[in-house]
Amino acid sequence: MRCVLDLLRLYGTGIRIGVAENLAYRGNFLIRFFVMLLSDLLFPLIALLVYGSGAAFPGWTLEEVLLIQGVFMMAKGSANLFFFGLVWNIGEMVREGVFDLMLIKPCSVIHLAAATSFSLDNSGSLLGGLGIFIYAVGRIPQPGLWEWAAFLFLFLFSLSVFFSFSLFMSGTLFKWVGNSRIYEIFNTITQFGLFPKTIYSRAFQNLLTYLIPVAMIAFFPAAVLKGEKPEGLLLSAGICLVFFFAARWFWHAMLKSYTSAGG
Amino acid sequence: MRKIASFARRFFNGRLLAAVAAATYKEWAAYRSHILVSLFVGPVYFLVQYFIWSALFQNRATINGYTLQEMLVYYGITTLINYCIMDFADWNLQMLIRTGRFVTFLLRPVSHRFFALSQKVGHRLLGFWLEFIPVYLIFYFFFRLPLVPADFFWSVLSLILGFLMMFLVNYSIGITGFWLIRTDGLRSFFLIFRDVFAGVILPLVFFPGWLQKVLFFLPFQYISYVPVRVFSGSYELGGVTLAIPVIVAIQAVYVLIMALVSELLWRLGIKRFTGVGV
Repeated sequence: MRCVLDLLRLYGTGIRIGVAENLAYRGNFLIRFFVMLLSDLLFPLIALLVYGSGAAFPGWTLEEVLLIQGVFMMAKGSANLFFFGLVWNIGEMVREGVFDLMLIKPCSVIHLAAATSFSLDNSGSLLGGLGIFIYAVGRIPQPGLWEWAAFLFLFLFSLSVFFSFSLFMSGTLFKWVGNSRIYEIFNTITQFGLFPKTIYSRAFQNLLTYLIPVAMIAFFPAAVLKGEKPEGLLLSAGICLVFFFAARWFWHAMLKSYTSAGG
Repeated sequence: MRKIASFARRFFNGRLLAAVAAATYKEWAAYRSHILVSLFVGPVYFLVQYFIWSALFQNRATINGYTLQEMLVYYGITTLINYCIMDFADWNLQMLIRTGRFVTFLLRPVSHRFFALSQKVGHRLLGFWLEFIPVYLIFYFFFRLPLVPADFFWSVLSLILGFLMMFLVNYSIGITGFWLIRTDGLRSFFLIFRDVFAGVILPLVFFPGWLQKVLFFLPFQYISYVPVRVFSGSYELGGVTLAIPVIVAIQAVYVLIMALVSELLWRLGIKRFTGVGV
């Protein structure tokens, strides 16, 4: 219990510092807020333009595609707001040779890096996703209580996938020092999650469900909200847990191989 | 006459270009694993496009005048052209201004813009054989994309102009660092607009007709959309169809206009630079 309270205090302090920093450069903060909003609206915009030209994914209405993209944006926005910045934090500290300072602090390095990465401008992405989500949910058959409960439960799994990715990425940066292109690799892999899983070949569907659970980011939560019971859901949830523990193990293994630059 | 020659040398100096490009090439060759990430990112990004468009074309032969093959070729060429013109002059310039390190460039008898352009030449030469050629081969042999330019001369010329246009637009964005302390927000904002309106995300013919007409007059299409269409051998936007030499000539005019805009911004911005305490 005390551990949880300590963590909450740590995150509370991180959020306060993050907000203060954002407000010190208000102009830049406002622009970044809208940029995050706009950049994540690109994929819904593409869907709108493509559907506007008369084309469609077989078996998927525009609203259903937007629902998947809205869920994806909400999960990504939440991750960016609360913990995904740990990748940048750790990467920069390793590059600048000051990561040693983190190791002597009396708390978990992962939580400390996550808590101090809070940036309010990332809320643009979350709000954009919420807007798309509300628009799409209002245009599909209304989900019942059970569907909402299942959706919220799976949304936690979706966040866990992002958290696992953040551990894999920051762990890699202990060895692959200063490589900002790791974000491109992440964006490319997760891009598969922005569209209905059924458009991919069978092999890719299995890959995205049972190996790298990208389908759990948005496709599965959106599907249960529509009242569907998609194939491979339970197994994929299990894979998310395995993915999380594998990421945690990987991060600690990479930490052991970290060599100080001398501070 | 000597004065004119000296002025011209400030803006173009072949020996300087070769020296800076070679130094940048060697500097980035040390980080070749960073550049090699493109060998994964490019083909996987294309794979996503392949699945998306294959699904969309399942019940249709054409979408907005494109067949599936033409659409895939469009994305293939866009990816490859972006390896040739990719640029981060905006980030570099604003970083130099913000940290005050820019002051060292003011002491040098050379235009910083030309120096930055020379750096880009070196960086992209490395990118040409580490990114362009391997990904081209993957597209050609693995995805079976017929990536052969309709006319080699006009394609290369348009690509060079796109290279310059990308640099000038980005450099102009970097100049905003003279006015703003933090430019990340504004830079990201422009970069999104640039990529969307350059046709990197989606062919511009997918946009509403009125917007296509507006885009015709903005500089963005000359970065990527025009080189891609020249490569394919036909140009059309906003209901306007132009012959390849005509659109390349217009592209050249826009590059000149953008060079003037960047020079004007530079003259206004440089007055605001203060390198206190550096």
